[in-house]
Amino acid sequence: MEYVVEMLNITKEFPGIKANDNVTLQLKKQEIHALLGENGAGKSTLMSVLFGLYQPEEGRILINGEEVKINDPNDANKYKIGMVHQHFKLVHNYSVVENIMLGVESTKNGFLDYTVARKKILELSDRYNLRIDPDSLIEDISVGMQQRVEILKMLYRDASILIFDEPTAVLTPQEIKELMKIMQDLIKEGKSIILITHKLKEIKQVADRCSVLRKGKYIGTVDVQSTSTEKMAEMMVGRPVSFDIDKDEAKPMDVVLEIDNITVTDPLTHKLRVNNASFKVRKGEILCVAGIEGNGQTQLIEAITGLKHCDGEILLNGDSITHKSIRERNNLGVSHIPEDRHKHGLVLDYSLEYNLVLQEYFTEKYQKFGFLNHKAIRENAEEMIGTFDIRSGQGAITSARSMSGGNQQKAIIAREVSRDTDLIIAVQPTRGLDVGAIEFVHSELVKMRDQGKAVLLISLELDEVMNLSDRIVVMYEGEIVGEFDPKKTTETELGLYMAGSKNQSNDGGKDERE
Amino acid sequence: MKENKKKFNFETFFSSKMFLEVFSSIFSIVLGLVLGFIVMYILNPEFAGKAFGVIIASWRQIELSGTVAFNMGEIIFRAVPIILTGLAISFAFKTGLFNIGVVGQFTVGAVAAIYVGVKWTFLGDVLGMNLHWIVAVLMAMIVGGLWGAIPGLLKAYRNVNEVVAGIMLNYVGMYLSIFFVTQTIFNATYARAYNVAETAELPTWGLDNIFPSPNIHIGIVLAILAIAVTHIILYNTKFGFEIKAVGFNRDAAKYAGINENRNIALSLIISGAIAGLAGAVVYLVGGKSFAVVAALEPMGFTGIAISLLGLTTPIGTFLVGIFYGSLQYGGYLIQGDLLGGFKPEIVDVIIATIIYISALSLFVQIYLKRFIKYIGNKRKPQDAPVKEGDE
Repeated sequence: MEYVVEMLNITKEFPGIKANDNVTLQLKKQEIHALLGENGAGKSTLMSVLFGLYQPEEGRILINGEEVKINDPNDANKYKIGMVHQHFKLVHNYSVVENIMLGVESTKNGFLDYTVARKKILELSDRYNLRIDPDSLIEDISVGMQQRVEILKMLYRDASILIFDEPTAVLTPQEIKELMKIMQDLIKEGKSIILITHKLKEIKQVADRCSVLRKGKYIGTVDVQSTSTEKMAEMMVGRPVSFDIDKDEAKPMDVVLEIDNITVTDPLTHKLRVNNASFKVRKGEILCVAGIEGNGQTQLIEAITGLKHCDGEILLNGDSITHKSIRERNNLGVSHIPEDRHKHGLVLDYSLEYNLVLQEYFTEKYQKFGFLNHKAIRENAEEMIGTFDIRSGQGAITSARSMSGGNQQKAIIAREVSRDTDLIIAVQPTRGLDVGAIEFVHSELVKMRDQGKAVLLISLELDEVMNLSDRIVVMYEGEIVGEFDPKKTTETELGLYMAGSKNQSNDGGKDERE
Repeated sequence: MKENKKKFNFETFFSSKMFLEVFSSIFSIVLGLVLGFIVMYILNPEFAGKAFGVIIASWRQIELSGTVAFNMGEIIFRAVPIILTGLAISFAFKTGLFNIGVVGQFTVGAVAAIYVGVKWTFLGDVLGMNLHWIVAVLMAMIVGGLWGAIPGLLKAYRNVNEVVAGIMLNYVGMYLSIFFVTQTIFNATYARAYNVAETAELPTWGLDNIFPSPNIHIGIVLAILAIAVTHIILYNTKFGFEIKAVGFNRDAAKYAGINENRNIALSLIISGAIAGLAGAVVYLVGGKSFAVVAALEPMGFTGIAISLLGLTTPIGTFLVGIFYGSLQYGGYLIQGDLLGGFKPEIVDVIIATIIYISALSLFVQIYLKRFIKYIGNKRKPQDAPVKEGDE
């Protein structure tokens, strides 16, 4: 018996889209099998089919060589299939033990029997080196440990086929390393793992084989050791992918945005969020504000875009916009790709076409005497869908909520860059996106720079900071602590400033560099 | 695959949001009627069938009352105020607000209309034109709108929950109205407000020729107008785009430069004005007088149910409102001895059941979705296209 799970020629259709089109996945015993694909490639659908959440239109599923029909997750449990979801399914004010035994409670005379459960959990925890504290509440433990509780939940139910759905998305680098180790231990103990991911680095580290999906189609299965990451990326995206950003030397011209001693105070706690920040962004350059999350970047951007009140002076093309409304700033030439695309970027219950005119619906082009010009709105949407390759189930009238994250981001970028403004503010524009989409975002930003726009980028990813920007300022606890040329600095140096252990304004280094 | 797309897609249609919502509304109504019938059957098995027939098809009861046209007139008379209060609620819902304050806005609007109707008789002949009822209607809308502005402004600029403010203001509005009436236009003999002058009564504009009922007036025209205007505002204007955006996602609206506070306030003002209009339509009628009783106006609350059943859209509200009027009229008709002398409250039982079940509409939708999926899965294998081989 070579394969523990075989999914043969699976086809699953949704209205307007073929989520899985003749997909085959074969999992060997004791292997880590990566399932690679961009957002919306059909990875989750395929796993939902295996887990019994969807019924495929076509195809067969074999478990240990026998054909089975999985009608619901209970069937999946019966065949010892377990899944760690990307968003954990834990009860926050329950203890670890309670969460694990939830649904398969052991009882004694009708009362819950914690002792048995606790013992089994501790045994499993020891055996797989999961190091969990069975009595602490979920809300008190770290995300990494919560994930280990999810793993224990599967093991407690004697699952031998384990599915991990994007397990590293929420983890810190140290936690990721730990998880990799746990996965390898699990394999040694006879489990088999399907790892859903779009991170090639992790696949290379831990997986044995890798199956690639693209737009619902099965592209192929490769041996990870003998295949380069570039090759796998190409299989995933459908064309060669460059990890380096292709850009020429910046030619900075006039100053577009100048912020002068900006201070933002939190209205509730009276804490200084942004402390006397000053910098300039010029036409034809990408200025990146680097820093660890929560050091005032969000508040800084809110001050510049007008979402929050601030003290100090903000100049756009030499004119003060400090006291202008959001609408006035937008019209004067500020485009903003927001940090949280669901909260700020989109009205999720609006159609794609409405979202694409969210910043311009009030202009002459889209309304006359207060009446919307639906024809112009539709034409605009169709043009942008074509130009930016925004994919959605039903085109212009698709509700934004039903689109994939990458395409939602594309829609926002399409809207913001096509407004032809002098300043583009992009806040973590690649968060949660896959390789293909990241490449798209990066090339759009570089294109905007080359068209002579000023780009202000906020990013938490040092790779992105180093590759994309022409100039870097580092923010620490609301202060601008240093300014760097990406060609003359290193990630280590930036890291020191980001962690607050160095500060140019103290050691006078700033003057030297300017 | 291309020819597949053109074909009617069974699953797409039946799992569309629209279909599910409409179906769950209809489902609630049907179940409410069934339960009403059961109650009627228990009360009076002999006449239940016949009386039930009268309730669900009240416009057809010519042997009881006269002509179909007469019945329609009676139905419209009962439907109009509910359509308007329902519309007021629906409009606010589109901004993400639950304007439970329609009750108070209705009352203050009604009293404003009555005051103008009783006192400002000079408007009856302005250069040969009767402006009296027009001014009374407008005044009702203005005062209703102002009453709506209070929770609106509180919500927009102080983030006070509009439901709490609305409920409180319902009582304030009611007692203030009673106080105002007793101070100004009080007919102490009957303990109620004076009747409005004849010039302030809503004209019929010949509608009584089409629907020969004594109760018909241009209220229905005003209601249709209000439905049309709000529909256009919501779906075709820049303002509608803004208020819906605020309703769906306040943060995104702010990001897009929409003045979300102004839109929240405006939405409740417009909603209040519509509620005020409802008050005017009810009381600017000959022989109808405002009783000085400390009770909240039930039409406002009924409007909530009508709005929800109508999927909080103007047109849906109109259709459900007419249906409600028809039920009410049916309830009025079945009181006769010919039909076993049922109490008209039986209709309230039916409506209450409908409302109760419509609150379960999400529940209904979930089961319906599963059912459609099940049917869809069963249908699929036959017409699935043939596959090519592996890559």
